[in-house]
Amino acid sequence: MVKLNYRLKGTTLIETIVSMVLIVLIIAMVVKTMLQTEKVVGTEIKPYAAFLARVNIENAPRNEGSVEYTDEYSGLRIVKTLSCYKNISNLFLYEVDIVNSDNRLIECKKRIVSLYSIDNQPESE
Amino acid sequence: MKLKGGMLYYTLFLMIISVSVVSLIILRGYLFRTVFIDNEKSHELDLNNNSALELYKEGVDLFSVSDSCNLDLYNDSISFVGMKKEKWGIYDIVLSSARWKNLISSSAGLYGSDLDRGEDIALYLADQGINVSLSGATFLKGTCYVPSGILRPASAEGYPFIYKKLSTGEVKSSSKKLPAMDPEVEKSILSLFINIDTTQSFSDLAASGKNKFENSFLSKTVTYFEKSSISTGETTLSGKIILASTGTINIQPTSEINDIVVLARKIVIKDGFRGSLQAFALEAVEVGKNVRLIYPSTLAICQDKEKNIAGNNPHISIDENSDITGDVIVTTYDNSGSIIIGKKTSVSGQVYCSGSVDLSGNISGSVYCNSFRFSVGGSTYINHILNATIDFSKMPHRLSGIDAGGTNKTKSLIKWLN
Repeated sequence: MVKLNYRLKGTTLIETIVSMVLIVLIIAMVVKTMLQTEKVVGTEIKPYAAFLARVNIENAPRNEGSVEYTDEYSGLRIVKTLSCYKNISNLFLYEVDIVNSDNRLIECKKRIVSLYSIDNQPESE
Repeated sequence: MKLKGGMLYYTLFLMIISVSVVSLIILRGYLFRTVFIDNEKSHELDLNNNSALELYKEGVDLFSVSDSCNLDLYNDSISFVGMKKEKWGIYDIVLSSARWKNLISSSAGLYGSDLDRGEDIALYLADQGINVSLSGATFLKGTCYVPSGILRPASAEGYPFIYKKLSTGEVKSSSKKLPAMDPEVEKSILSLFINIDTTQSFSDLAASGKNKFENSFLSKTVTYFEKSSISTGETTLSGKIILASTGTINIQPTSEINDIVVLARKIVIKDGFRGSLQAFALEAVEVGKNVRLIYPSTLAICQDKEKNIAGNNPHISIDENSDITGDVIVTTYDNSGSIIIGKKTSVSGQVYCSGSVDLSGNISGSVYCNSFRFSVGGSTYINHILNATIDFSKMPHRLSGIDAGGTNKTKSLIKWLN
């Protein structure tokens, strides 16, 4: 480490320390706000919700309507809905919604499925 | 007041820590965006592509106006999928692509009419006023449409019918005309013979010393043409390639051929060849012994009503011990033409002939024809089937082919092309 062999004005150092304290305070506030926002938006749980949606979008329910259950690990609700797609016979819109305990939608995936592919899909566990 | 300059180091150290924390927060956000959001969006685009292809497979008329279209899947102005269709022989190459910002996801597949979802027709013999007679070890399984809805046991060449039941499945009356083949397929075959690209010569290519030619299905079609006859020799041809000749094309067993289209006046597939191709001829397709044509393969002769595209005595003959998975088609404007299927030869798929069929082998699928005909010595038997099997239930699952009758618009995937 290099050693300063001249003197600095104390006021410069105090200004630096004050600005540093301000910076640290601002960073702390930003981090806190971010974490709070993430909690509200559900960013923390989003990857897991996305995983749940991905797993559930693969196999569509065999009947029209909504099926709902709760994931034991995260407490997230999984809502599967199968509805008619644009009044085309044999085609359905299949939606998977992942909802948290505050009824906030965390993740949503949808795809179009045919009656034939539903009938021929592997049995879900 | 004077302070020691060393305190500045602590301040600088604190500053580095702060910068690091800020950097980590920014990096975290960036990684979350690139890894998670991009990944999720990519999955969403894949789902949109699959949804668009599902619409196509279910027979929704997406390409009635042109061969390309843009779909707003959920009417939300976000889920747009661009689709494009191109004919490849009797099959369709369908490309779907979806994008979000810089992310692009595309899927391309080869599709044909879904035979699993049509009626389980084993035999459709048009009513020409002659009942069908079964002799020897003839076995029919599946729905049979025959003249007057009658199957008769008979004896031909000393072979009486050996089974107790004439068929396993429903027997119905056929009409005087064969169910029409999908007009798009016929149009597609005939269009291949018009405007053949003659710029690239096959002989020049063979002379160049290079004997391996591959072309991706996502690229433009490459045509190798020759005015005189062609022999494939030891060439490897694969992908979106058309091999065309105004003479005869001889497919040698030493060549490696996959998925290409072959166009000629006459096509001869020599003994022992193994590969997949769609062969369209004007006059004849002759398949030798021990040939194995892998799915998806097609042997076809198609003629137009104006006789612009026609040949003499159109016929497809398949010699003994061969195995074909795909379609064998002869359609002529005057109901002439024939298909001859030799002993111990099996066809898994569809046989469609507007003329007569001489069947000595096995069909795992369907036969549509105007008559059956075979000759032994000086005798000619019409609408007799001797020692042959037509079994719809043995047709391989998820096989694609052509729609006969216009009742089945559904499509199935033959293979992915990307």
